[in-house]
Amino acid sequence: MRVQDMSRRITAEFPFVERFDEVAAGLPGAGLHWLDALRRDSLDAFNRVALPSTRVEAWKYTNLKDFAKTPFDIAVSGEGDPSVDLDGAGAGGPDAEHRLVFLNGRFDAGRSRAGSVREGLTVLSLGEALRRQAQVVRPHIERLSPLEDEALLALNTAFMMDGCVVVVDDGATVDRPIELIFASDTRSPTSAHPRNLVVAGAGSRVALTETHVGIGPSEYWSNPVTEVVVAAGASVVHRKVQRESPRAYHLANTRVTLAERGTYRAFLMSVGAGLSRCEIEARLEGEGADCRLDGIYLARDRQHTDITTRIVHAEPGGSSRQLFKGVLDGRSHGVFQGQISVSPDAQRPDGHQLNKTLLLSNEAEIDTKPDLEIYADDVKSSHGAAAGQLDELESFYLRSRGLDAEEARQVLIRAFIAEVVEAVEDEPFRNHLNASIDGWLSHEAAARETGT
Amino acid sequence: MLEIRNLHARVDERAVLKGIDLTIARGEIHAVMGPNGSGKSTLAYVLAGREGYEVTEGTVHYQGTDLLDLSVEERAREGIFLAFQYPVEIPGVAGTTFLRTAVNALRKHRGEKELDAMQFVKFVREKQAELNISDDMLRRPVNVGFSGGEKKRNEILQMALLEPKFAMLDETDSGLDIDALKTVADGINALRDPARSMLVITHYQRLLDYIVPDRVHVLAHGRIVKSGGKELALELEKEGYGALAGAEAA
Amino acid sequence: MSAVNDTTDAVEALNETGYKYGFVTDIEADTAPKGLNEDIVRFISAKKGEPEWLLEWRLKAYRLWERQQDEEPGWAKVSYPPIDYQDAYYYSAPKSVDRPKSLDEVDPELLATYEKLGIPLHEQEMLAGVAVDAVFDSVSVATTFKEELEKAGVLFCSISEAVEKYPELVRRYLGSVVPYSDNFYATLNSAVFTDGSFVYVPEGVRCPMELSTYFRINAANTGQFERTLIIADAGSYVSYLEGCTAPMRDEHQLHAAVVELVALDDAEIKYSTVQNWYPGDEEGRGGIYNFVTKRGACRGIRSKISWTQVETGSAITWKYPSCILQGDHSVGEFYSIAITNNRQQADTGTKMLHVGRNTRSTIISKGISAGRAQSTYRGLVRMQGKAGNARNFTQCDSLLIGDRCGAHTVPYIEVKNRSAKVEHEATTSKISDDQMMYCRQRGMSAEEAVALIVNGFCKEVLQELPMEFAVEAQKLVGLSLEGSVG
Repeated sequence: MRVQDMSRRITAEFPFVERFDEVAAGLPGAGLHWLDALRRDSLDAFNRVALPSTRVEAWKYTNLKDFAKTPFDIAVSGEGDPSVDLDGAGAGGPDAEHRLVFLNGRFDAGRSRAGSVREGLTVLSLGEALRRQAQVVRPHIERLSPLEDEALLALNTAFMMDGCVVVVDDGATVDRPIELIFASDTRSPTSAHPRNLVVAGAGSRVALTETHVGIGPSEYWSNPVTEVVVAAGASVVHRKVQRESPRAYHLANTRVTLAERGTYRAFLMSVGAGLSRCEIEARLEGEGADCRLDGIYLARDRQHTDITTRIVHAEPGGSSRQLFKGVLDGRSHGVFQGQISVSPDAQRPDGHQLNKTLLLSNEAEIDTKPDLEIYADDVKSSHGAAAGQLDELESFYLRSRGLDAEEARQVLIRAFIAEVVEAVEDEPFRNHLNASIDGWLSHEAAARETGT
Repeated sequence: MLEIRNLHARVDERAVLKGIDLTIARGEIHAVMGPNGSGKSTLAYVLAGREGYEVTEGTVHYQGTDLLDLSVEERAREGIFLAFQYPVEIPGVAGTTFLRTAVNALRKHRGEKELDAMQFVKFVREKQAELNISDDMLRRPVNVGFSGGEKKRNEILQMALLEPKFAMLDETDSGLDIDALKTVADGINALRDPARSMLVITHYQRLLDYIVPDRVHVLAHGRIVKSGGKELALELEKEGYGALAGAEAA
Repeated sequence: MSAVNDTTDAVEALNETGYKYGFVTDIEADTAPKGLNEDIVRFISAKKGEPEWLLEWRLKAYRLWERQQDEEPGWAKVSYPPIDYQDAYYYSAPKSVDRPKSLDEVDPELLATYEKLGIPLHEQEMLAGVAVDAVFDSVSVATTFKEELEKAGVLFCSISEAVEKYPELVRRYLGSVVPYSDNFYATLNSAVFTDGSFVYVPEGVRCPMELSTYFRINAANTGQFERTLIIADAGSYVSYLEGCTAPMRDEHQLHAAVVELVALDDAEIKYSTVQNWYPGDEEGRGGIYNFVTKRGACRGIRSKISWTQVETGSAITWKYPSCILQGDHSVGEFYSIAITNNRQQADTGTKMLHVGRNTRSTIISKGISAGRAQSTYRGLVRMQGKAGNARNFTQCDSLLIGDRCGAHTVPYIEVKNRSAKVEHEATTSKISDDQMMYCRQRGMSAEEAVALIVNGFCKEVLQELPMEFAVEAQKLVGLSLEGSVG
């Protein structure tokens, strides 16, 4: 409706977008007529809507103006230092079932490790899936594409390079997590557009752990889109750790649909990237579906970290829980936007959300917008948000028991986020989180000491 | 006063009452006892007219009129009162406001002049003292943060003010210690009147030591399986419901 | 005393002749031609004999508004067909209070409603010595209790009169809280405002009575653009009550008012509104578009501004009474009840902008939706970098009645100071079947039960209202939800 209003748009002139024809020819599935057409349509959609400015409500607090000026190109196959060891990069722990590594957006067979062949589980790279099982992938990719006003999603569809396709058959249980590692190692501003698809059949169970890291010296942009389909009675656990390099732009989109009695548990840790936005939309489309999103965001220096969630209760009797906590230091800027939306026929939903942020410095800023959109009357729903600093009295108490100021501070910060971490059931992953938090805190303490 | 014939009712598609016959004469106190899930509370709700409690068969006549034709509030205005097992919290509504609205709804129905705030305070004061209800309790929102005993005393105060012709007391003894039980029972006994009938629903015989009934009925599986005088309660206390309920099932 | 008598007469005339809010008073309006252009702005200004600076200010606003034609706010959760700003009259002044038309023209349903409400326009003087400044369409017709107020040094008059008598005060403060460029509707108001109230409470004075204004929208197709300016000088206190009613009509009418409050050191302003403009009928025909900009500046240290509103009327409400907490230790409060029924839409809330140190704000919002109505709370709490130790607490509760309405909560929380503390809680729920059963078992009708439960739900806000308003507001709560159950 307001597409013409250019104050709502940022025009970017990314070189790779200009070279679409040339680039597309080398992307997975090139030559598949439906996919070529879809990529073309998506490119047109991107050019039509352009990037959102802060005048667009959903982007009020995340400004892409500087980002849009970066001359991103698309990552070239084979770039990256082959000697870099990514074995320890993943958050999945040693017992991951499969490990799929994507370097600069492309499947890196050499670093990946296939797990044992299992009944009822298919794990493929997107490129392979398009070659071997295009009919499985197609309806999903097409379904996500016609969305209005979603420039980044459209761009992902136009340029999706590779990614992971996980299909779990009805009733199958995958007891060890599938690990995905997305690494970037580039010498010039490049972009990667991974596209993942997880389809959990009726009554199946599966867990995924997704890690995003960056190594190279250059700015880069990771634009992943993950679609998760949770069939009736299926259970999906989805963990994600975003610890891109400080020069990264991480703009991720996760779209989840849940059928009746389906459950989706997500945990997000956002600690890296100069500018990040993790958007999660979960649609509870079947009766009794259950969704839980938890997360932690830690930021310092001039980092900008945005978590945007939207839970749509479309059918009766669904329940959703969200708990997000953040710690912001330096001149960092945190954004939490969480919407719970209840459709007219979705009676008796139970939706709750809580967001709390701790500000460690006077230059840090949090903007939070917990939003309830309710069109049904038999509703139990709530949200809460709070922001503040460490409690001086608590700190004093700890110091009176012999802790020094820095120790007391770390104890209190840890205590603040403990509630979220402790809810993580998987032990290796929880250990990984704790290690990341320790790392972040000690870096923070060191920076404080040197006065930077 | 009240004549129940072959009453069947269901809740959420489930048949709970399966043919109740019960006649309560003016001034009589009847007790209904029975194990959990036997349909005691359902019977009270059906008589009070709660929505969602569907009568599938049978009749209920109250003072000669068809009770089942009336809405919840019409029954209340005709003198039917239910002391709830779990009195409902109404945040923000002061006890006095609630009581005054209720009393005035009845007065309006009877063509009497509504009471203003001052008149009402006077009207309430004496009953209040009898039931050991403080002014503070009436200033607080209805049932919000009340202890079990406070909630039950509050129910009896409402009964005293609304002066019903037929009162149902649904597990009014549950959750009360002996002192609270005595206060509540005294309050109820004070309301015994040749023109007032009562139906006392209870799981335990204990309450009936204080409120001595004219008749006792045992409800099991949605039917009255045994009726008798006040001694039946003692018998039940000794034997338990097992024998009766089992006999019915077999 | 003549002013008092005039008002009494005017008010009594209204009552005797059956004016009950839903009535179109037949006043030979001195009306400007339809439409809006520079000439109309000049006409209004000339008609009111305004000084040059005010005309210039109006024209600046008009020119800006003209350039912004495409920028009518679109972000609120309300929908309505485009407003044709050229199809309305911008000036109509009553020459005298004249014979009204017959009662037959009034919808008996509406009359019955007002009968039940019995808003005591003429009783107000008797009640607690309220001074009434009745705004009749756009021009103030009467003011009472002037003498007593004058004795206290309080200036309370129409803004036109203030322009004439206290030009320095008006010039100094007009537009200082809501600049003419603030937003589309405020800009429009700045260009064409016709009247409104002016209050100045001098240093150290506690205003001896509640000040009250009744606004009514009268002439067909006349937008009401009042402008209110209240200044509380150091150490003073004033409580201002605003009641709004409007006759029913089939077409929509625009009401775009601006209210500016200024509180200096240690001053306190309490501003209460009970708004029951005509909401339109059950199908959404007619009703007021209430697009209002209200803002207060706590300029002085320890100053306090408190907004209390009960919004039950209007087809669409778009309103965010706000506080700019500049002075250290200043306090802002917002207590709101918004009830929407049938096809009403309300997008209302507040902005609390914490600028100074140790500033405090409290937001309590109660939204009730019934029928096919949509009600949105939209609020901003901003802790600026210098707002050390600032505090905000926000509680937003929504209650839904029926399954075709919507209730939305959209808070924006922006914190740039680590020692600031912000807490926000929101809930959405419905009236439980248990509560309804309990009340009805005690003899109340479904409607009485709803009114009782909703009044309980709104209690924290109702108790902030001055006595005279609280009773009326409680009745309104019940009345505006009639037909929402059963």
